[in-house]
Amino acid sequence: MEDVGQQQNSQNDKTDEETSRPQYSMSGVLHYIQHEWTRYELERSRWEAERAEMQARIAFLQGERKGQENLKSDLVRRIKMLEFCLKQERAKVYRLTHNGDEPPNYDEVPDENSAPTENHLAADLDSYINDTESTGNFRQGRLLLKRYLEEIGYRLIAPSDLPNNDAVNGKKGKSDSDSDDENLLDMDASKALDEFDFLHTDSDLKNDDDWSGNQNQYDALVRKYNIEKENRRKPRNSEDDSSSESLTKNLETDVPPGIASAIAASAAEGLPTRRQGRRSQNFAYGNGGASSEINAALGISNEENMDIKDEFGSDQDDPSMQAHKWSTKISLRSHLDSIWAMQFHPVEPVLFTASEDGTVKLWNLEAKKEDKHGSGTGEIEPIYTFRGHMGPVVCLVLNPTGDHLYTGGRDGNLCCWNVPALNSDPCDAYDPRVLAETLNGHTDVIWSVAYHSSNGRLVSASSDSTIKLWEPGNSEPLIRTINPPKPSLVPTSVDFVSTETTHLLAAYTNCFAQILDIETGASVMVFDFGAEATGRTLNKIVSHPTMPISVIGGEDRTIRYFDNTTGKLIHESLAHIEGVSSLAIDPNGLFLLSGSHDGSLRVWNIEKKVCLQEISAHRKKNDNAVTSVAFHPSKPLIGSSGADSVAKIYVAASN
Amino acid sequence: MTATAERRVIRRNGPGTKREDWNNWPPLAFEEMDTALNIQQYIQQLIKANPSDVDAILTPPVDQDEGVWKYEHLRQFCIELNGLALLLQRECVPDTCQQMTATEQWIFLCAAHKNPNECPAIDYTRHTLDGAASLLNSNKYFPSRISIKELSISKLGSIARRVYRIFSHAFYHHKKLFDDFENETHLCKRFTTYVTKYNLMQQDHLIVPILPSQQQQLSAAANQANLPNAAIVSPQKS
Repeated sequence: MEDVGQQQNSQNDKTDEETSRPQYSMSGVLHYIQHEWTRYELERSRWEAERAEMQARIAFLQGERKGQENLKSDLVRRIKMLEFCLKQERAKVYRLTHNGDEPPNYDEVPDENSAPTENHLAADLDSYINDTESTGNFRQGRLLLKRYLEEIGYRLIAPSDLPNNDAVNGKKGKSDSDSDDENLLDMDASKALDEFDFLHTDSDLKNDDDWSGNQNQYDALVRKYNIEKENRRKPRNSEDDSSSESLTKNLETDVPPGIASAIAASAAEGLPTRRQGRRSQNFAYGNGGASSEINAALGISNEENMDIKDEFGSDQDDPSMQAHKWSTKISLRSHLDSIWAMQFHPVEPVLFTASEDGTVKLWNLEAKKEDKHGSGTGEIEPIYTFRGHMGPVVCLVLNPTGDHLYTGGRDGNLCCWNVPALNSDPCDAYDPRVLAETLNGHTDVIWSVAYHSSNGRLVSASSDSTIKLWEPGNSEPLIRTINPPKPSLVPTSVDFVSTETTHLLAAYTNCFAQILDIETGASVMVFDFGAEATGRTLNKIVSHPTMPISVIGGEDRTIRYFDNTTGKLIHESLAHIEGVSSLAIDPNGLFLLSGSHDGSLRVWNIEKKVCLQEISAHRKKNDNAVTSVAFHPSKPLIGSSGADSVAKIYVAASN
Repeated sequence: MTATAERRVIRRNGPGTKREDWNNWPPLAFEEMDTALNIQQYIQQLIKANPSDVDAILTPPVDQDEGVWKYEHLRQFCIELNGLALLLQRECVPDTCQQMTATEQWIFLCAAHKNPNECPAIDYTRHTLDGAASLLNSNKYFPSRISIKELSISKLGSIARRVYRIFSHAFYHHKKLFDDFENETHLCKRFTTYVTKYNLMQQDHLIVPILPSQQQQLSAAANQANLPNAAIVSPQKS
């Protein structure tokens, strides 16, 4: 009983325990289940996040691996190419050292080489499928293609690497290119190829790429390429139409030894490009399933082609530069010694040149056709020769209508000329009335003359240190003499200020320049050259046609821009290798032309102060080269004259 | 490079140069003239040094190509003849010199025209000098000043023959002017020596007695005085 009692007790205990536990209630259970479920869910999502993270990492690592594989295959290809080049070089050396015998082993080199390359090629192929399959690598593939195309682009501009590539492909092309390639040649290519057998593979290659691309775009590129190539090849025609073997030799010997290594390197660069092109094509045909993707990839490649083409264009003619490219059109030769000065007629395509030979010549650039009875060589010859100075004629200026010409010479005289008819014959009888007047007042060389556009007055600067103001035609022509601010200074160049009619710009030796009032002869403003100025002669001062700015070129090779209102230096630039001898500003005030004793002209953008073009213009006589430059006031012509007795006319190139 | 450029003499007449300093730089040995126009520089340097030393001026540097030497000299004569033409312009007018003549024997016809023309002396002078300048610069005959084609050398002779008439006209019709010019430049003497040395003209065409040997000849010829009258030379067209 006791047991029972105990049992009872225990049972009671149990029940006591049970009763002491919290009671299972419906809501409690539900809450518990809910809690547990949330916990599992939470954990699950955490796992999933972790898994995703891991997957991402795997993807990343896989990507990285693919990248490495690509790199590896690329490097392997390069190694192959370098090996090939090395073999070629060895063969060459062998031939050279063995009296031109073909090296026994190396004869098979191209075949040996192409076979492994083909195997390797197949291996490579896979990696490229993968590349194009996974969209994640799309960018990488695009980048790779871009690089290859850049390499093609490089080949277009670097002629020196062509020979070796051609030699290599000449052999390879025969062995593995399919006959379809032949049919693909467009007219232009085949025309070029008729002459140049070895070009086959190049054009083939172009056409390979063409398979899935835009035919027109590519044709254009191929045409351009072939034309360029043809041009390059022409001089060597006779050598080139021989057998491929001699070609190889030929091309090898074409290359100067010094750059042989550079060529080898560029050959290594160039060849994978071609192989790559071929490979993609083969693949596109061999594997129909993936071809659409390849097409897509090649579609991009065609875009890239266009890009490269554009880049090529922009290389030479950036739109901002394009309008201002000047090219030599005419060389005017009839002076016997250095030409000191030149200026264009304000309206007509006519110019005047003053020379050390004591003459001033009048040239009509349109008189070419009429001039048949002269020497009959079609050269432009002067239509009139002014002889009025004993010894060199140093400077000249025209009035704004072009009817009157004023020249200053070493003899210290100023000659005032009535310009003869612009269609006159050089064989007309001498008319002494052409020389209207000789103004003598200067006792030394007259270095610069300027004509005031509205009041018909003339200013001359002479090495007798004075600047004189004249009124030609007046009974008392000399109006005023302006002495230099310091006796040691000699005026070198004068010009009227375009924005202030009574002001005159005067440049002197020893880095001094000022603005003078021509009515009073007083100094209005002295330009501040700063402390660093070297104190060398200023050769030319010109006024900007529309703004209160003066531009000065000096013997210290510098061009300086000054503000007329403050006298402060706006900008200075070291412009040439030797002294700046001459400056001219175009009628609209946008461009500055400078000439230097280094023999070159430079065209500058005045606003940006950047050099847009350099033209090598004149040869030196002693240390003199370019002596004068000019813009035509109303036509797109510029001109320069030089110590080599030649004046040159340049036209704005249309392209 | 720039340091040496700073130190070396700049051989140019920059703006502001005074007349007395014109070309007044230390003479440079011919070998050191490294420009393409070194012959012209050299000749002008010799003339500057002493215009009366005709023989020194006409002595070419060692190994000098004779064609270029002759060409550049003729070029220099034409440059300096512009000075004589300038003087003639002032006093030789068609009223007094209707024809280009020297002695009474010759009337020279101007070759600058389609058909050789009987120009007044001053026009002959101007046309001939202009024509010579054009011919000496012709791309056809003298495309380069560094080497002269053998065929073009013959042109030098015809240019020399024509421009010589300017001397002879000035000598016989404007003696004072000629003498003043000659005293300063010694140009006719140099020219006569030049054409004799390089055999560019026949001796009997050299009618200005400027060299001592010529003066003797002249006096001998004057004694005979039986040359044909008014023979007209019609120069070849270039």
